Amino acid sequence: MCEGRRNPILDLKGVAIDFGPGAFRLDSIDLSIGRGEVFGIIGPNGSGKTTLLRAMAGLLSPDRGTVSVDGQPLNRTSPSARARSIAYVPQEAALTFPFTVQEVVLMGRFPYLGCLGFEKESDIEVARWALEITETDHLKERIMGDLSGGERQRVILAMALAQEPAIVLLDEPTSFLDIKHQVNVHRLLVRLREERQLTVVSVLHDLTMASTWFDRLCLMADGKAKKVGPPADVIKYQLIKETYETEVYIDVNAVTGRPYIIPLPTRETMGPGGEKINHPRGDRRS
Amino acid sequence: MAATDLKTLTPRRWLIPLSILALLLILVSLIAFYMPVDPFAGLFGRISQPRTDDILFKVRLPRILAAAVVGGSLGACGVILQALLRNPLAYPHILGISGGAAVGGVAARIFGFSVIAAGGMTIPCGAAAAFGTALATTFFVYLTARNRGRLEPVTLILVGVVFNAFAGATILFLFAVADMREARGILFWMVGSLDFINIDLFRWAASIALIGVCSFIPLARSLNILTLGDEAAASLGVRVEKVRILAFVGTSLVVGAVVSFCGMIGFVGLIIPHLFRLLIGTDHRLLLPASFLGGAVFLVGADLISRVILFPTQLPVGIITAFCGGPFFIYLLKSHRRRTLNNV
Repeated sequence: MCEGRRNPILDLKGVAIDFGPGAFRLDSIDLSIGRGEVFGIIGPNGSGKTTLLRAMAGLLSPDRGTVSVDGQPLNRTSPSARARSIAYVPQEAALTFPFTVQEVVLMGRFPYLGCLGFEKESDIEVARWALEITETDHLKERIMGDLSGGERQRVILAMALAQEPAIVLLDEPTSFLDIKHQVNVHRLLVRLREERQLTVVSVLHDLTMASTWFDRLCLMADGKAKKVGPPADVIKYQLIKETYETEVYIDVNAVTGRPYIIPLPTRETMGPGGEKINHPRGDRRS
Repeated sequence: MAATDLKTLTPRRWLIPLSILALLLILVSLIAFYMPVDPFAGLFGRISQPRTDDILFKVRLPRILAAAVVGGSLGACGVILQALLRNPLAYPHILGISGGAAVGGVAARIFGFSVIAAGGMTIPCGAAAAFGTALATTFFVYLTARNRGRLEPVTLILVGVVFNAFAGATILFLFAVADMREARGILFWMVGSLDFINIDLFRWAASIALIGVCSFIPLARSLNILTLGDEAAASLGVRVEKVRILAFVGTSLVVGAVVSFCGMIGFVGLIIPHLFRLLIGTDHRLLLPASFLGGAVFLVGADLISRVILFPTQLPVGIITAFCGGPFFIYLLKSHRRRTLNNV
């Protein structure tokens, strides 16, 4: 990880985005993400996770500061050149017309084709590979609208991988997936990091998932990067409790060696050290 | 590696359906061209009027060409607008441009301006006024729908609906205050008719329409991706706003030219895209040219029917397209809902 940061691929310097007076703003974010790093963005609803991800993707241009990829500022990169190095996987894609799965995955080759060009054999080869590694091969003839949410999410991931990006940005890539496919998607991303030096940046709600699979995490709060570091430094009782305003239980998973977290519904419970913790809201009521 | 064979568009898969459609277009056009003046004469034992070269080349040929260009343009614009507005119910008249054109056309006809002559050509004033108001409407719809430099599909649809309603009210107002000697002709033009053809007008309208339609071809691949959503499209390198503005201005010009020329022929631009999506799939690289040729075949055929079905009376072709198109569209919806509308 540390080695990754010495070889940064994605650099954010003082990135700020304003959505008008009184509205949400992203506040001077400095981040440096290394090649081959698996980086997670966590934080409460409305804290700016997706905005940050969209700024990294070049979908939002910052009002101040710069986002650069391999030292090249994004706003001076052409859209198709950008699409060859960064893939962005939105939470959900619109489904207006009955495209088949294979057509959607082949769309990932768009930044590589000429203006009128048909896909070449090499493009088909890449799409085939993307279908296989995302386990969507058997769905290729199906229509997107007929798939389950989880299947669709994997097809959109396949489309992004067909872009053969150096960086893949994911917005909640596993929100509709069952645990098997959640694990498989993360295992796949880690494998692609090993095999292809793929850099992964992902927005996540599941903090245990974030802690288990990611090299480093960025905890967002009110448009600021409140804490950046390895999971052990970010998934901390006081920090999480304050940021999410929720009572939680945090311990280290003996199997993975990473912290895991359980949100607690009760008023009083035991902390990681075994001490009694008072639920802040409960106190006020009693 | 598993034996996966991906179906994608190859030059062969592209050319075969288009060649079939082109042949079909030639066939229908030949039938329309050589159809006896009174097709039922033989049946009722009357003597058929002799065909003359004048009728064939001065009346029929321009009319068939016009039907092909108009039908094709409406089919292609329907495809573009459905993708642009991300709405399967979109059709060429949805953006209010046709309503604007109709106001100009009706006003010029009611107030009795007949023909303007310019540069050795004579253009009926109704058509010129219609195209003028279509351009003005395009401009106003664009200004109204634009929000912080962006054209949002939903806003465009709403603005279009409002402009159409306003245009409808204006036309009714003109009818109410005007002397109605010409009402029947005006009504026929509005429904959509190829009876008012003038070769100079045809040259103008056809050039605008064909240039417009050709300019759509490079947009086809971007439109595929645009239907997945703005973010997905932008991240794949599509210049979303540029494509949207080009598609909006292009379709507006083409629809304006077509409506000025022959009124608001309905249903072609709605059902042809759906029909071909069902037959050949959703890929706009093929769907767009196929809908152009298919729209041409459909309108040449419909015009042929409109000429002969109540002979010697000629029906406006817009009535035929709606008569055939309405029930056919219901049938498509009922029987192939999943293939046409993506099951959403």
